[in-house]
Amino acid sequence: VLSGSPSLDGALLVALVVGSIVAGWSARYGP
Amino acid sequence: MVETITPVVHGGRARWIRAVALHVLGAGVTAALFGAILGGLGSLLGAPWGRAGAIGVAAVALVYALGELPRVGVAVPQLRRQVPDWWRTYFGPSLVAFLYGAGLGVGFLTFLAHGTLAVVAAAAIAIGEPGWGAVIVGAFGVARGAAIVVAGSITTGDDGATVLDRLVARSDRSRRGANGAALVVIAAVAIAIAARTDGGWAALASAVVAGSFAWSAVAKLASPRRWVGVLEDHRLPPWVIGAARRGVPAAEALVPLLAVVGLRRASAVLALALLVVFSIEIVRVRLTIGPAVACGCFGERTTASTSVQLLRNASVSALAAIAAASAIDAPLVRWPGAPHGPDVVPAVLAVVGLGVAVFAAWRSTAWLAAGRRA
Repeated sequence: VLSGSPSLDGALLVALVVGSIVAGWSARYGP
Repeated sequence: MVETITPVVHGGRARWIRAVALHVLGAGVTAALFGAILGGLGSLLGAPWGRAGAIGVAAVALVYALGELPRVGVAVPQLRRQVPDWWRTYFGPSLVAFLYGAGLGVGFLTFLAHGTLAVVAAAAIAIGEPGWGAVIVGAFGVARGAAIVVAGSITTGDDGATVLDRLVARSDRSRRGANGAALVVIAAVAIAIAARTDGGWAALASAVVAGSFAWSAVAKLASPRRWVGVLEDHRLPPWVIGAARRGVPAAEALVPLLAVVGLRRASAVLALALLVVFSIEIVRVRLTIGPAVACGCFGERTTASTSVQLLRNASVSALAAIAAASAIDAPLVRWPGAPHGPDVVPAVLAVVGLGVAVFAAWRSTAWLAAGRRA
C-alpha cells in the first residue's frame, strides 16, 4: 500500500484496523 | 440515543438484537463511506506519498500518542454535535437505530476523546485507495456501533438510566492506554515503511496546503456572521468587506479545488499569492488597530499574537513554495486543442449547441422567475 512490501503494508493495515476498533470502542457519547 | 436501543424501550431480546445489528450497520456503512471518500481524496492529491506520507502518518500518530499521557492534551478535530433526540419521536425503532448508528459513524461530527481516529483518517488519505480507506475507517464505525452491547444486560427501567453512565465511565486510564499503545504501534510500522521508501515531499506539501485552505474556507462558509464580524473588526471599507465576505472563502476554496483536479503547481502559486495578501493584512491590522484583533484566518474570533500568525503563514508558504517548485501536475481535465480537418464541423456544432442550451437555461430561469412574481 505504501512501501511495496506485503509484510510491512499488511502490518500497517492491521495496526490501523486495530487502532480504528480501539478508537470506536472508546469513543465518547457526550461532553 | 442509548436508551432507544435498550430492551427497556423495545421490550424484548430479539428486537434488541435487531436494533443493535441495525445500529452497527448504520455506523459501519457511514464510516466506510467516509473512509472511501478520504482514500479517494488522497488519490486525487497524489497519494501514496512514499517516505513523506509514511513519516507524516508516524508524526501524527506520535503526537496523539503523547496526548494520551496523563496531564497532556492534544486537540482532536471534532464538531461536538449530538445525534438529534427528535429522531426517535418521528421514526420507527428499527430505522432510528440505523440512523443513530449512521450519525455516529463518521466520528468527527460528534465527540471524540482520543486522536486515534484522526490518525486512521490521515492514513486513509495517505494510502490513497478508497477500498482500504473504507476498511480501516469502517472498522471504527463497526466498533463504535457495537459498543452499545454493554446495554445487553439492561432489563429494567432503572437500569436504563445507567447505560450512558456505564458507557461513559469505562476506565479512562484503560482507554488512554489502549489508544496510546495502538498509536505507538501505528507509528512504529509507519517509520519502518519510511525507511524502505523515498520521495513524495512535493505532493504531500501540496496536499497539506490544500487541506489548510479547505479548512479555512469551510470555517468561513460555515459561520458567515462570525467571518463578517472579523472583517468589521478589521475596520475595512464597506466595499472591501462586501468583496471579502464571499471573495476570500471562494479564493481559498479554489486552492484545494485546483489541487484535487491535478493542477498542483497552480494551486500552490495561488496559495502563495493569498498568503502574501493575508500576511500584509495581518501587519496592517497590527500597526493601525492593535494586537487585540482576530485574523479570522480559520473563522475564529479569538486573537493570536501577530508573530504566531505570521509564523503560521510562513510555514504554509514554505510548503506551498516546495509544491510550486517540485510538484508534478496530473490534470484530470485537459483543455482541448484547436480542431483540425474533419473535427471542425462537429466542434462548431458542439459550440452552437452549448450556446443554445445556455440561452434556453437563461430564458427558462427568467420565465420561471416572472411566473413566481405573477
